[in-house]
Amino acid sequence: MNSAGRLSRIWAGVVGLACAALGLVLVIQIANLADREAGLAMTVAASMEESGVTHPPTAVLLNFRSYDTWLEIVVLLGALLGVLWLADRRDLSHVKQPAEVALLRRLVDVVLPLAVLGGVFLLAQGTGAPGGAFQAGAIVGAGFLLGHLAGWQYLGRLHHVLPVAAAGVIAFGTVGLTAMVIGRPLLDLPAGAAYPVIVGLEVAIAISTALTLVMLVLVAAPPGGDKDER
Amino acid sequence: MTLAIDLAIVVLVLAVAVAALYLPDLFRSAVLFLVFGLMMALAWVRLDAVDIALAEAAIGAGLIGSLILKTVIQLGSSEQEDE
Amino acid sequence: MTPFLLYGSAGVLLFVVGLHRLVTVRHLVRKVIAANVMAGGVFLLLIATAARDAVETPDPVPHAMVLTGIVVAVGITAFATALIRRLHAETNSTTLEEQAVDGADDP
Repeated sequence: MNSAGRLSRIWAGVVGLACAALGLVLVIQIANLADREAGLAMTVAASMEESGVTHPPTAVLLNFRSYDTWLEIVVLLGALLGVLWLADRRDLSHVKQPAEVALLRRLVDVVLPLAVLGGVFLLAQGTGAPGGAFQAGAIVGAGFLLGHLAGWQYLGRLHHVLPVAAAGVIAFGTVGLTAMVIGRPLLDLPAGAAYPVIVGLEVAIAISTALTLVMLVLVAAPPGGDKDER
Repeated sequence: MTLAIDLAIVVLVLAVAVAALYLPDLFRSAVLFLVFGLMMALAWVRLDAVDIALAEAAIGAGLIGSLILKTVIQLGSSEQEDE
Repeated sequence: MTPFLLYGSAGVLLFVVGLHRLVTVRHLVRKVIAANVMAGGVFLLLIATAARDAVETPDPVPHAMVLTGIVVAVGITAFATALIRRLHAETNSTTLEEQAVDGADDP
């Protein structure tokens, strides 16, 4: 046992030296890159009128690089399916409901509507200012998670709404394949009507992301129920 | 002046990350990881990436932090710490 | 010392320190934490590059990539922690060391 401990210490030291060497090489490379002025900022700025929105990251996420965003929410859905599969129960009966604490419940009664309001606000201003679908979905999801911790009983209803988690993927697929049917490239947004399509996609993403994130945190429990829920 | 703020934030981020990675108590590591996410949100604001700051605070620190914390608590105190 | 150099080096440091723990530590949850720290380091370097290339506003393409990366990271962390919990429920262990399991059902 003692020699195994020493061996692992030597191994840790060797790996530490290798990592330090790697870090040094990378920092030197970054110093070489410090002067270069490259990047796509100019290209994106030149195409902003066609994109339909006024906030560059939103334009990149939902128009110029919308394929990446589509695959991103597919990955999120895949993670949800994986977590549900590992939990071995499709219903949420194994998730322990925390006991209701009166003070926390009162707090959540105030915070949860604010969270939903904040999420909707971020979603609405995401086309022109920092915000957007993912942030909105995360904040609304966090509000609902707080509600669960405060003792809200909505898990039974959540189980029936589960297919809504695929709404984002389906919305993207519909828009993308419609473009292909018309004869244009995949996910090519119409030049004049890009804004309403982007807003629709953002709403779908926000709803499905909120639901998926809530489910991901709640459902990840081993079969047989949570052992010790604090 | 502004470089001093950047330096302070970088030092904070690195210190909290090293603490989260190397402290022997798993619960403390999980909580420090959550703090690490919030320090990263500060760095995003300094780098003029407000969307990323919102997303990191909510998703990166909040949701990933609570996932890890939930796992640590559920693994229970019967776990033997190993290096 | 430009902001790019400062934040970029910080990103590299995070990546390298996370890599060290990812490789050397055996507890699986610690590996998950280390992987997430590495991801944070990569994002920091990307956003530092975006800030360096700013023309009125920072380069939005790395912003979109990092946003995507954060969402993917939460999905992966959720799945990884679910796997860890399932492993713990089945074998009462939190490492991937070889176990002397009787009647193991490995093919």
